Parts: sequence; structure tokens; C-alpha cells
Amino acid sequence: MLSVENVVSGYGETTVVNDVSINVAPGEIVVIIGPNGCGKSTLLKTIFGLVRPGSGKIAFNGEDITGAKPFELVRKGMGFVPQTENVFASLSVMENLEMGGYTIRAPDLEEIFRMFPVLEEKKKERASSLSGGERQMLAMARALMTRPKLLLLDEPSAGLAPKMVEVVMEKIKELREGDSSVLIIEQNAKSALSIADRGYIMVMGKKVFEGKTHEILDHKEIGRLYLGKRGG
Amino acid sequence: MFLTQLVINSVVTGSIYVLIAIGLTIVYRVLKFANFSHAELITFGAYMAYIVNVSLGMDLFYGALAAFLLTGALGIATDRLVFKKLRKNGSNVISMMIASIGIGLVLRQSIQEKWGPNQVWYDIETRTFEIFGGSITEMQVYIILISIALILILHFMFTRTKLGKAMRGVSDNPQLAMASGIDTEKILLWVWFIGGGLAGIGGVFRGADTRLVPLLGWEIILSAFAVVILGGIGSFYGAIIAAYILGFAENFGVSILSDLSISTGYRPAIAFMILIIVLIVRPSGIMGKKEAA
Repeated sequence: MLSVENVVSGYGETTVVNDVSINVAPGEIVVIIGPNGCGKSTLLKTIFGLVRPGSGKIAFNGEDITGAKPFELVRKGMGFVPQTENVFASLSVMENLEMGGYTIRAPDLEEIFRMFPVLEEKKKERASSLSGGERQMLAMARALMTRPKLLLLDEPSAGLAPKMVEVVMEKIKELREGDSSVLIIEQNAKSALSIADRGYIMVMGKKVFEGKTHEILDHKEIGRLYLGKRGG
Repeated sequence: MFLTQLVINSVVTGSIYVLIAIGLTIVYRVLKFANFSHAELITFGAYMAYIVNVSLGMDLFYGALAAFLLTGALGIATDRLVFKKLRKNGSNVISMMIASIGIGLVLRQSIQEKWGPNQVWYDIETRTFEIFGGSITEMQVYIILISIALILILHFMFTRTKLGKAMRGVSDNPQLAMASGIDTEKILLWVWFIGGGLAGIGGVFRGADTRLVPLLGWEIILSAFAVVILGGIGSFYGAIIAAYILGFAENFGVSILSDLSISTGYRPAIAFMILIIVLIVRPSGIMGKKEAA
């Protein structure tokens, strides 16, 4: 589905992502964990064409997409939910969804409203008037309008109350049932690992560990360093 | 009655400002810089209509149509040749603004080179109507009605059409627009086309209401900026209200100035005064957002 090979990326002269390779299989939920500034967000932006890689190769469904523009990737079946400013604040909920479905002829709103009932209730309201949790729902719903085969999520739990985090994670799990793959990057590792199949750990721009979710959870050193577990 | 005449003049002035200000504000909304070359887009439009109306001897209506299309195209050209390159280099808004002043200078001098510094007039018959003791020319009636019609069309476009909504989406959040599959550069072309086209028609209105000079746009661009700031920078509906407020303020202001035996040459100062007062009292304007965008 997605394969990232030896990608080096950054801003100007600064290398932020250093020779990272990852992959996501169809129907898989994969999480990238790492501390602030480890390059995971830049990696996600590089995959989505918002940052140009210095070297390396990115393929999506077997097609080389290195350096492709975001709007082209959306048309190829990729969706992206940024961490911040992830809704059109001055547009109504409905208009946000219309923007999400910009590339398709007849967007299926019923399915979206079934998954996010609160959005139907508030479809005429401005996105800026929504609560944090509702905004995150709208942000995901907007990206789901195209029924992407791969959804990229940048810290979906950031700034949300624990209850809301649970709800968001449940929604992400639902996506897999719809046969979509999901790539999440998270600082809040535990909640993301609870729904993921596999995970990668990035530190200082490099991939330092990869494995199944339980391998990450059971790994003593990782538990101590990144999951806030005591002892070890 | 004198008051009726003032009201008529105010509405005409507002109608000239409104399209120019909307053009200015939609470009600002997306690109976040004050485009000073908008002044010369206004002038350019006025002279394009002059070619059609005087040189080719056609009705000014066709002149206005040509002004819209050609000035829209010029707007696109300034973006492709200058602003797009600056965007790609990651230039800041100050560089963009200074570049726009440069483009304006080049255009203004080119227009002066071609048509000379002296004033010229459109070839239009001006029938005059009397209403409630005031007089209004046929041309002024057209100016008012066409402005209202265009405002309604724009409102429809922004709220009902895919293109209009995408334009709002791109100005609200360009990155997210891209992430939604919108080709933002393509939308930008439309923004320049419509913004430039409106400036062109505003130029024709101004030229028809007064006369044509190479400084035509420059004379009213500061009023247009005052309208945009008064309305709340980037606000479409704010700009509409503010255009008519400024129309009234300038005309009533001039009347007060002459009553006080002060030179009416201070007319442009009225726009500045409003501008300064708004910036001090309510920097976000009538319809502007409270928080900085």
C-alpha cells in the first residue's frame, strides 16, 4: 500500500528525517511514536507531498509518488488530517465536508453522518464554533469524504480530553473495517498503540525500532523511555 | 433638494468603491498582502474600455466587458510573472507589497506613455434624470445597478458554487485546501482574474463618472484601502457596507468642508481620517475577526 524507502527530508539545510524506511500494508493501522522534534511529523508531511524529500523513494499502491503534490495524492486515494488548523474555521460544517469531497462528483454524506452523528446536527454551524472534540471529528470526516485508501493522521489525540481520545481512537478503528489503512503519528503512544497493528519508534530523525504492537508494549527499554512506564 | 443630491452622490461614490474594494479584499484574503498594483489595474481597465468605446467606437457596455476580461487577465499575468515567483522563493508579505508597488509604477508609466498625461473622456451621452429635487445621470444609474448586480452574483458564487466555496476554503486555510485535493494554484488564477476584473470595471465606472487620467486608479486606491480596512480586512460583506459608508462620509464630509469654507481639496483626507480612527478604535473593522488570522 505505502512504502517509504530511505527517505531523507527536512527544511532548507536542516535534515529532520534521516534515512527512514517504513511501510503500511492494506487494512493495517500503523503508528509512529517518538518524542517532540523526532521528525515524525515531517515524515508524514513528506509522504503527503507537503515537504519535498531530499532523497529516497515513496510509493503508493506500487506507483512512485515521490515529490507528488498533495492534491494529486488525494485524487490517488490518500487522505491527510493535520494536527492543527485541520478544519476550515470560517466555513460551515457542511462546507467543510464539501471541501473534503471537492474531488468527487457525488460525495456520500449519509455514511459520514452515520459515523459522526454530531456533524449532522451541527452541519450549518461554523467550524470555529465547534468544541475541540467535534473539530477533530470534523477534521477526520473532511478527510474521509473521498473514502481514502490510506489515511494519514497527525497526532489525532493532541489537546483532547481522555474521553474524547477514546472516541477518536474508536473511530479510527472503524476505518479499518471499511478496508482503509491508517498511518498515525502520536506522542500519546499508549492510546494509539491500543488500536494499532504495528508501530515504529523514531528518535532524532532516525527509526530506532519497529515491531508488532505487543512487542513495543512489552519492550522494557521502550516502555521506560516512551510510554512512561516505571522501573526496567 | 440639496440633501437628495448628496445621497445620490454618496451612493454613486460607494458603488464605484465597492467593486474595487471587493477585488482588493479577495486578493488580500488569499495572498495576505496589500496589492498596491490594484490601483493600476483600475486605471488599466478604464483605458481598455476607452479603446473599445472611443478608438473602436463601440458602446461603453462592451468597453466594460473588455475591461473586466482584460484586467482580469492582467491580474493573472502579474501573478504568473512576479508574485508566483516570489511565493515559490518563500518571500514575505513585505516583499510582495513592495513588488506590487513596482508593478504599479511600471503599469502607470506605460499607460501614460501610450495615452499621455492629459485627461480624456469616454464617448457617452449623458441623459439626466430628476428625482426628489436631485439629479442623476443615466450613467450613474448604470453604475449603481451594475454594482448591485455584480455584488449579488459574487454572493451567489461564494455561497453556492464549488469554485466560490473553494476560493473561500483556499483563503481560510491553503494547506488544508491542498489536503482536500484542491489545486490551490488554479484557484489563485480565478482569484486574480475576478479581483482584477472587478478593479477594471471599477476603473470604467470612475472614468465614466469623471474622466480618464493615468493617475485615475492611484487617486482612489487609498479610499479603496480605507474601505477594506473599515470593512475588516478580507471580509467580503464588510467591504460592501464599508464602501457605501465611505461614499457617504466623503460626500457629506466635502459638503461640511465647503460650509466651513475649507478647501474641498481635503476630500482624500476624509478617507484617511476614517482609516486612522478605525485602526485606533476597532482595528478588526466592522466585520473583521477579533483574533488575528
